[in-house]
Amino acid sequence: MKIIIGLEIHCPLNTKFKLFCNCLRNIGTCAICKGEPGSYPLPPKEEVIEKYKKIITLSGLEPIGDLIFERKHYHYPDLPKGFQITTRRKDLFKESVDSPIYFAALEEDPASLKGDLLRKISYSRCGNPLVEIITMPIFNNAEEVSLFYQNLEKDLELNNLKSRKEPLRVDVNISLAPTGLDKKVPNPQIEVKNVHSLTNIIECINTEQKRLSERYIYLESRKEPLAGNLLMTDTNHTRGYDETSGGTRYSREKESYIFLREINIPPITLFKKNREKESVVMNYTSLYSKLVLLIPEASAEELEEVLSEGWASLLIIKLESKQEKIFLFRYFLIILKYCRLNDYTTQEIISLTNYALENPITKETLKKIIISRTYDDFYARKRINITFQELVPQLRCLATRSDKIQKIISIEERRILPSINIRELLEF
Amino acid sequence: MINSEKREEILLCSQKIPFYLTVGIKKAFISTKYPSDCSSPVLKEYAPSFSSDVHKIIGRFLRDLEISSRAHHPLIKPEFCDEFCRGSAGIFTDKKYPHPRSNSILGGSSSGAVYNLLLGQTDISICSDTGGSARFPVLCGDNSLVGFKPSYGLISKNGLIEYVGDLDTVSLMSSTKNFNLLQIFFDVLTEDNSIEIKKDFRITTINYDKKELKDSPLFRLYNNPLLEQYYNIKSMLYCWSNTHRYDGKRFSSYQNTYPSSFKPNPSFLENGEIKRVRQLSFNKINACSLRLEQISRKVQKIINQIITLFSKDNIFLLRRFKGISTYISDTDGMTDDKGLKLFIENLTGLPAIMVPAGRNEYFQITGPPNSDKLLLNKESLNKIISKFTAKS
Repeated sequence: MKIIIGLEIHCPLNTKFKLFCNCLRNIGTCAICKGEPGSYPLPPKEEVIEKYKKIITLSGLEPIGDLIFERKHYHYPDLPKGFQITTRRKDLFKESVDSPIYFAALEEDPASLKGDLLRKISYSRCGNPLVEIITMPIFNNAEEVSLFYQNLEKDLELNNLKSRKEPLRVDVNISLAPTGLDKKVPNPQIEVKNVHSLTNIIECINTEQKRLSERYIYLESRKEPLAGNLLMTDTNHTRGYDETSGGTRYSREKESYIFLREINIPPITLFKKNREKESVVMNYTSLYSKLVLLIPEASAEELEEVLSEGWASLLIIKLESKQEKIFLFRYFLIILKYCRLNDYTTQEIISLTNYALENPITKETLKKIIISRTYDDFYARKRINITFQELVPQLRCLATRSDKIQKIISIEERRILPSINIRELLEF
Repeated sequence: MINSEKREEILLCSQKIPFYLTVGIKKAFISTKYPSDCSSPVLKEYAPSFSSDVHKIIGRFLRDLEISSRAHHPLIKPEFCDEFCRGSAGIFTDKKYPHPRSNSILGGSSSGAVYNLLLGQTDISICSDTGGSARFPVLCGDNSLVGFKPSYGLISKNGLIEYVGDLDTVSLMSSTKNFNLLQIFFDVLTEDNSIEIKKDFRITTINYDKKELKDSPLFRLYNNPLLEQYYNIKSMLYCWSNTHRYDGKRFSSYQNTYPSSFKPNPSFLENGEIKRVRQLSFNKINACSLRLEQISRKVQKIINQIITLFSKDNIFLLRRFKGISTYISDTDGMTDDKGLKLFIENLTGLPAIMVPAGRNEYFQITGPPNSDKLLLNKESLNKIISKFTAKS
């Protein structure tokens, strides 16, 4: 069964001081780190912000407004304050389709927990500067994830920015792809926390994929209300990773957080207007050179088309993992052209590309994709939330029984098909 | 840091400091010497690792006074306040009020300061003001009390246990006999003498005739219902957020987990007001935080308009308040005779002083930004008040 994967990568920065106080990183603790009553956080230093800026520019993000800090409330003993100070996620970056990374947050590190039975907390890590890099849910395999992860350190130049002693901590978000699933059976979103290395990430993804698909098949066959421990896994939850066994373990349910603005830290302007343009240009050239290396047969016009749409880096990840590169590239261009005709949102395009690149490449599948959009629109008007892919096989089963439904399908297909310029797309 | 020369200047000015001086400091300011539990059972065992800036500066100043023998053994007295300065019934739920009119009991977070000032146990007290708690208690003191809220950001807030970070301001209260002490301690606390008193300042007044008042843009801005909504939501949300800091239950399943100096009590919060805030449901708080985001831009515009009006025309606004004759336990009572609220000065961050003016009447004068010294100077204050009183 297919899965969708998104990553949260925590990158500890190698600064001299902590983020909101004058303590030395990893060594000192003061009243501000420990969240004592009466202490106020200091505004972050230039050293931290310049490193954060570098990560932003190299990951191809364009900030719109100022950097505003927020309190993220969750009640767990690794936070002495009861809230974590992070950057505001709303309206900070432009919706760029260009890169698989869609957000990078500057935040303070919580304390580290040690031991299982006699739990201990060390506050020396508390308040270290940390950049949380969040990707789109675009990955479908462990291979794609490993390719992205291997290139990440080179692309973002993390060797200079990251502290060498501390590894990257990755949270892996996994769920089954919703297309073709029975909606009555729950499909929880699972977050596996604190996976430290690439081998562990691959193991973790493979085991979770196995577990989720087995569970789904079991639930689908039962079709009865659940009881016992399985009920816990129906909701969205977080899991811990065991390095020794390679498996995962239920830790807690996913909470929804309350965000309040941190008033004690003033907003920070990241870039002036001139510098924003430079960063965009730099990304454009680097992506162009990468594409040329991957697909030497592509013409310059085709490459520019892809780059102008801003889907290059997403395409690169997909291309690297496959052997038939030219086919994929051409196919991608067709999708882009269609997207330009109809106003697609970013999430729709991602799901579309994932579906298209995974399935065998024929004209029929392309037809299905094109029609599915129109069918979705058609049935949304009638307030029936069924996608075309779910609907067609059911309708065809019914069509054998009655003539009326067969007529409906044929009439609707006639109505809808001429409205889209399929000929243009197929000729290409 | 204050220079030695400037400190000498202040000491020279302080001719009228009483020989026996006691300074009251609210328990919300933490210190390593004095109990600083913010009158809450949660922080009973709290031994802070550092002292607040107010404690440090005043301790240093009092030592200098003693050495120069202008005062004999000056003292700091920690004063009770409401739990986490929430401002409800105050400390007078059990105690008798030291005033001939025993019915007039006043709540508020700075009620401990009033208690000590009226009994004569302290000469000046340093407290905090988030919604008027340093100015409101003046209304029950007849001719005996003065409350002053300086403009936001002049006095260091480090070490003040947070209620609403944006609105908390360190402020001063004293008896009318020791009016001079307000000016002296303001100079000491700001650690800066660069703001000079202007001798020629323009005053534009708003008359209390109904027509003129209602047409004025200031009245309209002050009367906007969004401001009240904004204040109420914000104070509730940040009270919820800050009290969650000290939750002992969060740590209870872990061994050796507390930061060395901070050991919160697991039996959390027994005061009714704080308990009510803490038990709010997740959905309500989430809805409130969304509402706060929606309003905040509009409110910021209104606040900016008020500040520009004040600073452009150098306006000093005088508002009349009536004295209190009954028990008041909530912030709802903090209105002037036109129904305008007291907390607008906290939202705008403008300086304000509350002064008694005859039988059962009080004036609050708010000035433009950084006009604190004009409000604390007796002569200029008299000038401002006389202009108003002559018109009306």
